[in-house]
Amino acid sequence: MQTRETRRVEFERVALPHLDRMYRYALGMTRDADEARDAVQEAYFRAWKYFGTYQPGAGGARAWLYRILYHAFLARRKRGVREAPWPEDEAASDTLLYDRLVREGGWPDPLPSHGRNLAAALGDEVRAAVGRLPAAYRFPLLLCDLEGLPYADIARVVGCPVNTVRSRIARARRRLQSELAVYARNNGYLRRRRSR
Amino acid sequence: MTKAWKPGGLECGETRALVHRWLAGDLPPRSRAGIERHLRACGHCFSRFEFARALRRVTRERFAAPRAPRTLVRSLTRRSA
Repeated sequence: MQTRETRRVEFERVALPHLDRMYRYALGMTRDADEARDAVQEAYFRAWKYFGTYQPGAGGARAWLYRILYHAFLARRKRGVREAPWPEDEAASDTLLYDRLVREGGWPDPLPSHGRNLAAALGDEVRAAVGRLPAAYRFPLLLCDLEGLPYADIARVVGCPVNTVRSRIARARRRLQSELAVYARNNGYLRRRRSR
Repeated sequence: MTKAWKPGGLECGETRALVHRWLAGDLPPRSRAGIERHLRACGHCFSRFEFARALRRVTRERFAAPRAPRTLVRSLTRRSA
């Protein structure tokens, strides 16, 4: 039978190496250091509480911890504000920003190096726009782009089918493209449309 | 009637729609190979792809966080002890 001490040692071996990663993800989701710290602490307390039932499976400890953290967030959000409904932007596409830059922005030869420079120039707005995404879309997008989780693992974390993850991430990307295109227009990267 | 230009068996619109899934490693091998052939042949789609990759990199950079606060580490190790 496992003693408390061996369980503690095992928990630290399995869970603590992921702490920095969990904190980064929490910070990405909350955008607030104190809130991120509280969420991670709460998630690790839950993980410790249920560590006796932990089974290394697909995605390993990392996916297991993300799942606990994700649900800790959901629980915290239920105590907080409700998000407004989010209308789909029908005109947005996965590559809207790039296509507008080429068509309207005076980037006729969109070399990859230009892309990198422009992407860097848009960096602050990328962060802000991701932060404005509704949680149900922001969480899987950050798991994909920030944490590099495969869609199947993201589905396990958020507890929905892989196709739902695909659809949410795709919708989040279209929303980001749309917001970045507006930002690019307002900041002179695109020519302003003439009023008719 | 001219034949549609479809390097890798994909039109540019189809490639555009799959670029992000390709970057996320979410495509089956056959689709992945088609995208890769298309990107090698189509400069516009390759630039789109590079731009999408650059935006992903910027997202990672902008969300990079410092290590978890040591007080958090201490509180967790104390709690599990």
